[in-house]
Amino acid sequence: MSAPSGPLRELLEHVLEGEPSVGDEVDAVFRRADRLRRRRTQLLLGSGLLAAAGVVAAGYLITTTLLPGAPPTATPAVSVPATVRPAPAVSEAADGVREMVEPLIAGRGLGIKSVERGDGWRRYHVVDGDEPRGAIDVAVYDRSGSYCLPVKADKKACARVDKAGDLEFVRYDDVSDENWQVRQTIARRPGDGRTIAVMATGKRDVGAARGKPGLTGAQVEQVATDERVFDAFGGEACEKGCPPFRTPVS
Amino acid sequence: MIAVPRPGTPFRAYKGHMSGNEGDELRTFVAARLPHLRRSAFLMCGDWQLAAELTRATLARLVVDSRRGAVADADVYAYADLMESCRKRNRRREHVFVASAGAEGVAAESILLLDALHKLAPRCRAVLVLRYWDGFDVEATGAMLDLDDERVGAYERAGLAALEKLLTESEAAMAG
Repeated sequence: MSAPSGPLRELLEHVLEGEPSVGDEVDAVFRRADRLRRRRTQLLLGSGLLAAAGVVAAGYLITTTLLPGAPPTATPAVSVPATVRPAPAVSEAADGVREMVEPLIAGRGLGIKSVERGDGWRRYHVVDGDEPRGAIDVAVYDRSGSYCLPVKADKKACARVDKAGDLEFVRYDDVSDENWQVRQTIARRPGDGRTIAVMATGKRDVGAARGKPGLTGAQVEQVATDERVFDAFGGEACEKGCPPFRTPVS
Repeated sequence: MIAVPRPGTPFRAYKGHMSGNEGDELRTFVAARLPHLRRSAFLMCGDWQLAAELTRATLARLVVDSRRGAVADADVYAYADLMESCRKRNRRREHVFVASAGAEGVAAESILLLDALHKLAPRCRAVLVLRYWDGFDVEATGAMLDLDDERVGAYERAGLAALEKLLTESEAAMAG
């Protein structure tokens, strides 16, 4: 053994005596290769999904950051009660409620001039050309349990509700006062108690013709009973500083 | 004495989709190379079970990468991957010679040689195994270990000298 460089291979052959048999090692290699291929495919798919999610998230962030924010709030045509607190923290781009309301307003040749919003509520100031046409208030409340929709004339009574899918709703239109015409619907999802109030009011004290609300009663009902509006509010709920409704959600 | 067939004709690299014949060819290659690779792995790590595990893993990677056409030279790929696996494994554990479960007994000389081999630096050991056991030339050994020819020569000379010294010392100790 003193000169390993020449017969090293022969020496190494002795070392290998007692080698275990190959057995089904070849099959084991191919089974392992199949497992490896599957793992790599899963890893690749997972990475692809992660990358796609990253791109979507980045796109969303860039869009919400770079797109212009809400237009400056003009002096509201309808006087805002002191209890309503504008909350400009959420960007206009994220307002799913407006996406539901605006097409209906546009369909009547009207437009939204400005928006006020807070946690669980929105107020859209409507214009007809340059002329103010009142506002549309939308608010969402959590009213679970035995809550029932109100009756204007009797605070203790429960209103008889109409049904729209899983929702119960009541219309509270009141255009008897030509100087403050109101179309309002309150809709409630009994399953989780989420309750939405939608009110369209015309400009006050300008007479019956010019004081008409920006939406018809049917359109107000349509907005209030659209599940997408519930979804658009996400987890928001109006607790304080909500806009005053002609028929309050007590 | 174990009859050891030498690594033979170069294995053709697969490109793209494999036909049935190519699949058979790949299986034939794996069957032919598996014993060689396992013995080389044993000389590197001194444990038949670990050698079998490392060889399986190397050949599985070779099969997957060959099927997607990512292997230019299967021998270089296989031995390079195996030596790298052994080197990584050796970083984490001491070398201990482990006889196979069915072995009746291993000659003292063989244990001395394995012990001396495992006292070498991993690169020296890899060069000696590839050059003197697997019979690869300097260029192929360099390609497998990512070394230039000079470095292969240097490792080879250093490895042989160290191995000779270790064996001489061991023999002297046994004689004494």
